[in-house]
Amino acid sequence: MDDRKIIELYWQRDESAIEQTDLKYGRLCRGVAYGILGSREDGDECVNDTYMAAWESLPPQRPVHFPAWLCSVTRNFSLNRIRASLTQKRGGGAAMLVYDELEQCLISPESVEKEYETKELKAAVETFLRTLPKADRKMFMYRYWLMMTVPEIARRMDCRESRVTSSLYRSRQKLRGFLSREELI
Amino acid sequence: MKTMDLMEAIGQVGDDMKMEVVSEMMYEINGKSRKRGKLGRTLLIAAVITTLLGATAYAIAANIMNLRNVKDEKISGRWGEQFITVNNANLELSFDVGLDSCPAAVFRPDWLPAEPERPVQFNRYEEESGEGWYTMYADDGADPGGEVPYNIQISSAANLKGMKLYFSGDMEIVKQDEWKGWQRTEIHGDYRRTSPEGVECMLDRYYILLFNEENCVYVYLATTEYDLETLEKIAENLEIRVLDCFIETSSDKEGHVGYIDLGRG
Repeated sequence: MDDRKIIELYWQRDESAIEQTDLKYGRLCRGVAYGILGSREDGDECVNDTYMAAWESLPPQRPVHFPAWLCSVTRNFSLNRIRASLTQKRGGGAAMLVYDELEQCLISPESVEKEYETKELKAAVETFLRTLPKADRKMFMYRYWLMMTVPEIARRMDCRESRVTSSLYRSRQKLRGFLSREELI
Repeated sequence: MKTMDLMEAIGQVGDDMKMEVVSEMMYEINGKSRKRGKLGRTLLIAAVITTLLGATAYAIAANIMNLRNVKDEKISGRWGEQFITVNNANLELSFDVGLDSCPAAVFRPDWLPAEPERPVQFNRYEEESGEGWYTMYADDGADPGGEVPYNIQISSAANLKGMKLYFSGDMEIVKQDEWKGWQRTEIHGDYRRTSPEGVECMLDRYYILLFNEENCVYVYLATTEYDLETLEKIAENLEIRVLDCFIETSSDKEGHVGYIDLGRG
């Protein structure tokens, strides 16, 4: 079913909207959740939370890119679940490794000396990502947005794992430099 | 700033960047059932043409796809109601059509590098072919005015007889050969693009033109994002179907000109 029709079902408060969402994007959302959490049970709960959030948010929202919106919601629920374990540096899934890698982009990851605006950070990260070549940007998004493993990224991008690893390393270094120049770190 | 803040900021970037990876994931989730063995697909394209030749007698008239280097030539012609000068023309594409009528054709892509981010899909013969077939299948890319992942079109040369179409800029014919009953021409060109940050750069664009002489079917594939190998793979995995409806060859387009470059129409 076309995304616009699925969204229309939500707007009409037709419960088949959730069934249609699950039919079309269930595998996608579960893949995102399992990858972050490393647990099917937790992942399924996040996906259910995603469908509830969709039911509550549509209307008034009408996402232009519905699958990207769903992935974002699933990711947020998944990150919320591991937030406590990340603080204590415990937990499963790829999130722990991703957290450690992204720490390298920050000069002082736990420092709260520098004030920042969430909006400025988001704008800076977006601007930075647009400067990356598309292949490097995709690898970055697979890794740090969807928390996919390096072997999985290499399989999807049809390249060697070493290519993925070096691309991610270079991108993190560039991001660190970018954030530093923007005086956000 | 905390690392978690950075992780959250990454989650808030534009949907177009998210769709670059989501569309690939969705294609893999949906696309597995569409995969066929390579040999089966090869026979499929050849079989379509063989069946047609067996079922209907055609006079093998002079149906030819012509490509001519016109660099430094002054080109002009009709474009709609106007008379225009074609700027910077490099290669000229035209067709000789010996048949009085040619069958219409449609296609569907059995392999694509990714699901389209901004799809443009059209079938002018949907009534005859049914759903799931196309005369145009393109991804205009996430960024309007930016790179075009792919553009695939099929038409009958009967619609193009007498018309001259031009590639502009620096073009080079990379390969011309016979491939499974098709005349295949591969073309490479450069083009300038200014990025959103104002940086001008030279990029590559690739074209593959396929022409089937017996039916006067012409297939056009183009990309500014992928390489020629990827475009070849798209071409090799096209399922092409010749329909049982015919287009009268006319000379209405005699003297008409047009651009065939990506984004030029």
